[in-house]
Parts: sequence; structure tokens; C-alpha cells
Amino acid sequence: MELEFWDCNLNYGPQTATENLKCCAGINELVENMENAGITGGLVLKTINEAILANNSLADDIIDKDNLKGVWHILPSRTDENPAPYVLPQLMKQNNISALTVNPKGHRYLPRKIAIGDYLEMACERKIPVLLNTDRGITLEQIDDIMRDFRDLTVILTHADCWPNDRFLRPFLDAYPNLCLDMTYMLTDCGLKDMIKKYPAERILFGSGFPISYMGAHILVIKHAEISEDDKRKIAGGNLKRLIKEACYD
Amino acid sequence: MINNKSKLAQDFWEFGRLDDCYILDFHAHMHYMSGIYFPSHSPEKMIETMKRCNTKLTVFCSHYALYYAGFEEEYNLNEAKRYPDYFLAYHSVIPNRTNYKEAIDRFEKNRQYYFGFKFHADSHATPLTDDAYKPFFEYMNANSLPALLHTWGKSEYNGADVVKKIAERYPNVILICGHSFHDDWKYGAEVARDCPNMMPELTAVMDNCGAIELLCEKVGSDRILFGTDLPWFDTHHGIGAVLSADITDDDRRNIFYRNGEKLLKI
Repeated sequence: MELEFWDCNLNYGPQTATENLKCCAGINELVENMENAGITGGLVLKTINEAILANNSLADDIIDKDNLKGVWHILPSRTDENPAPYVLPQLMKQNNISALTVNPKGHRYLPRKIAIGDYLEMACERKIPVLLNTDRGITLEQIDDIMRDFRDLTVILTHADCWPNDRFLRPFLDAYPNLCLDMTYMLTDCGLKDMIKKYPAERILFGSGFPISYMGAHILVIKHAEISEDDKRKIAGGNLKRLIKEACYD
Repeated sequence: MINNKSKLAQDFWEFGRLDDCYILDFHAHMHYMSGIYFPSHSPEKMIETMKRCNTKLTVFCSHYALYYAGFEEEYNLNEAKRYPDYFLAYHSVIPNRTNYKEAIDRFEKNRQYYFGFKFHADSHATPLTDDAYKPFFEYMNANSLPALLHTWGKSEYNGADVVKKIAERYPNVILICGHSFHDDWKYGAEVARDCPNMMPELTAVMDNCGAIELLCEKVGSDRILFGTDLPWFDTHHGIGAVLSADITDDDRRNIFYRNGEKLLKI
């Protein structure tokens, strides 16, 4: 059976001040790149610094793209900028949004229960995936703090550091049962095989990090990793599709 | 898959390794390193990876030889002697510690096991222009030898401007620019373009989409070398990135093995 790739770390948006070499400005360009690389679908974030503008324009862009599932930023509910936690899931469903994320440094708030606890509690109850990415203004220490308060939260953790980081990341897998790792920056030679010896394949998700990283690099890694074909299918796309399916947006 | 526009990508997707497109890896290490867990740090594990990807030769410098006082060069030489069909070594140069006469004597007596010298000026906090390196560069210049340099964008020790001075001062030394001045992509590529004895190398470049295209455009695919930092980075990840880049299959073959063949004279 052919591998089906669903990418948990897709991004597009206009070039920002911190210049990347590669820019993927529009959603159609993203889709074109996915088709060329053989990626069926995934979670997509619009890389505009302003959260509300990013959320709204993302929803407009993916309205007719069934295999692109959007990621919305959350902000502290006290400022009433986002829809309230109790109405957010239905709006997510209507707008083809499947996951949430945070950027506490960029959006200037504390990544703690007192600030965003109501959203995280809702996400926890409904198993809505929350993307926590250390490239978006949150540290591993802060992620651990959040997870202590929301131990069962469904999290896709991206540690934006390409150095081999198993000593940092494995304790998260041990401590938090619904936390999964995004492969984007997991480049270690034989790292996938070694990880799968200790942890179930359900905990690892394919992520390309496009357009910061090349789309096809991890595709070749997964295809030829010395792990079972069943594990490859889970990592390539099965796990992400399962997480999206398990979430309750009604 | 990987890249539908590339026949080479489709073949790699299918087989993971190709007989007619082998890999020459010009940037690797070996053994343990403080602060990092490596599943495949031993030469035997590295050879397993090489076989999976059809890497014909890996040029390495052990972490022990590069960083740790008291271990130094024996680890490079011993492993290169144990596995001469798979590895060549870079002799490490640690400023103010590596004894020049002993190093050159060791290098010449074991010439078949050594490819060149390795400099990691950032780690040793000593700019490449420092006098501590001078006799080594003069020796390499007199003998037209290659050096693998750790290079990084805007580093005061091995950034593009520093390496440019070395390139101009020692025109016969083949300067393999490890990491291709990471993060200072455009300026680094321009400097490499203007210095014919510089060869950009791709370790840690592959997670930066667009860098390979930029280097091919500005410097030319006939001067770029493939490298992985093994046991750091997965060789298939590096291959997959090169296959994903918006360059021709001819460019990819230059990077994977043709340029390396010329350097190794094979």
C-alpha cells in the first residue's frame, strides 16, 4: 500500500522582516508544492504576525480545500478578540479549522493557565490538537508548565532546533500521554528507528516545516526508515488524520 | 514523490539508494559528543547508514579529536585504518594545542588515511586568521591540500569575511566551507563565487529551503559538496533535500558525487 503523507507543519504567507530564503506567499503555491512532493493534505498556518487577520484570511483561503485543515491562533479571552471558547469549536468546523496554536511572545501574553486556560480546557475536553512550536515564542519549560496544568491536552510539539534533541523531548513523551512530536526538526541519523524502539509510532507525526524546510526531505527518510510499513503509514499521515478525526468540533 | 519533476527523485523514492548515483560525504564526525545523544555514533553504525544510501566514502573528524584534550588524533587514525574502504580522516587542528611538527609527521606517514585538515574555529574561539593556524595553512598551500572549515554566517571566527582572507592568502588550499556560511546565505554565496578555491558544503544547509538553489545559482553546482555531519543528520534527509530543490538532475549529480570525484581524483 502506498504511503499517504499528511503534513502537520505547513505554512504560507507574505515574506516577513525576518527573511527566509524561500517564501510561499499564497495558498495555491502551497498546494502546487504539495502536489509536486506527493503530500495529500495537512495542517496549515498563515504566517501573518497579527493573529485575527491571520485567522480570518486563512479561513477564506482554505474554504474550498478539503485536505488543508487550518490552524487558528488563540489569544487570552479577556480581551474578547477571539471567539469565546464555548463557540470556537463550531466556528472551527464551519471554517475547516482543525487545530489551535499559540504565539505568546509575538502576541504578548503569558502562556499560562491564567491567560489561556479556558481555551486549553476546551481543547482538552474536545481533544482538539494544539500546536506548540518553540519557534513561535514558547519555550520547552513553558510547554512543560502548560502540560502540568493540562496533562491530557492533545499537543503536537515542534522543537525548532535541528540539533539532536532526544534528551529534551523523550521526557515529554513519557510524561504526557497525548503529546506527539512533529518530525520537522528531528533530523538525527537513525533517530526515527531509535525512537520507535521506545515509543509507539502513534506519537510521531510527519512535518515538513515548509517553506522554511524542504518538503521532500523527511518523505525520503520515512519511506526508507528501518521500521515497519505499518509504522511508516502512521507517521506519514495516519496519526495526523486520526488526531483530526478524534477531535470533537460540534 | 519527493519531487515529481525529477527522475532522480523518483528513482531515489523507489529504491532509497542508486547504483548510478552514489554519495560522497565530505563532512562527518564520529563517536560520542557531550550534550548530544547519537543513536549511530560508532563507525560500524555509520557504515550501516552509508550502505543504505550507497555512500561510497565518508570523510570524517571524530568528535574526540576535534574537541577533547587528551584524546586527539588517535581516534581519527585508528578508525580510518580499521575501515579504509569506507572512511578517510581529516586531521584536526586545535589552535595552540595541536603540535604542528607532530601533526605533519603523522599526516605524512599516514597519507593514505588522511584527506586533509579540519578547522572548527567557532568551537575553539580563535579566528582562522590567527597565527596559531598559520603553519598549517602554509603547509596546505604548499601541497595544495583541502581543509574542511566550519563556517557560519557573520562569525568573527569563521564568517565569510574571515574565510575570504584565508582564501586570498592561501590560493592553493581547497577550502571546503562546511555549512556554507549558514544564515548569511547571500553574502556567503557571493564570497564563495568570487574565491575559486572555496567549495560550499551542504551540512545543515538542507533544512533551509532555498539555500541549495541560491548556491547553485551564485556559485554553481560544479563547486558544491554533499555532507551530512554524520552521525548528526540522516543521510536520507540530506539526499531528500537535494532532490527537493529546484535545480536540475545534472546539478544533483554534481553535488552527490561528481565534484567529490574530482577532489578525490577517482
